[in-house]
Amino acid sequence: MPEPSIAVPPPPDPLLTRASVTFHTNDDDKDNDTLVEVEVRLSDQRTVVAKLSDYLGHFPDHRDAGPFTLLMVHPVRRSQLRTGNVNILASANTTFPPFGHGDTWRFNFVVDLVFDDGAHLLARANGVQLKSRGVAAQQSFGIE
Amino acid sequence: MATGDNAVLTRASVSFHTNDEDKDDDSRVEVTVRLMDQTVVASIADEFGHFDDHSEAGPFDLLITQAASRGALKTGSVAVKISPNGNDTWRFNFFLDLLFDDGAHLIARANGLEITESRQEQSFGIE
Repeated sequence: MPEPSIAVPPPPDPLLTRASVTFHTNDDDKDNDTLVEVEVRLSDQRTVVAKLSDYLGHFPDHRDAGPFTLLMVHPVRRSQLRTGNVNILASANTTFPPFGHGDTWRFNFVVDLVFDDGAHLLARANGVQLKSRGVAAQQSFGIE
Repeated sequence: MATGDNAVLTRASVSFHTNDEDKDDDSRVEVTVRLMDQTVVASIADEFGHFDDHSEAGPFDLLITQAASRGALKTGSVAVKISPNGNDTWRFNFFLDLLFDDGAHLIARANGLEITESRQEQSFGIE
């Protein structure tokens, strides 16, 4: 007689509980009036999971800034975020025509995604440059 | 593949950002990851060469010497030690990335550190 099969519970898939971003500015600062947006998105590119949009003030050369906690806008589990991405946008002030004074910002960043089991996923890069002149500049990065 | 607190450490790496005081090329750096009971889980010790002001170094992979679970490492620590040849003051940030076999991480990090020939070691919790 065959032994009864024992149901194996599925592996836990923890919920995202906190998202934060930390910057280190390298040799070109961020102006105090340059808007920074950070969005954590699922792979469909439409679903925003967590976001931050703020001027955050002046980031001088060779300084750390943050961590800044992102606003959580869509509950997700870790498995969904493995194929997600982080988009970082900088938009310089455009008060002065034709393109405002512009801003070039060179920096490193770490986005720290913390789940309810205490483990993390990360997105990070060094040597990023966002050059905003008239239009916002942005780059996307994978989550590891 | 184990998951949750049973996930097993598969890679440990450390990255440095040197601030406004460099590390001499002959200053030896040791990074040691320990469990709460002080069991060494992973370590690296090397001179790594000169770390210039305002530069990145790494990531450097640590040698894993003891199998450890995420649950055990949540209460662990990392020690960063410098052994200079003579005098050296090094100001830096570090980021320790502990990767587990389920693809999730624990980390330890700190900014604005200074270690010198007179204060050679600092320890930090793992988050």
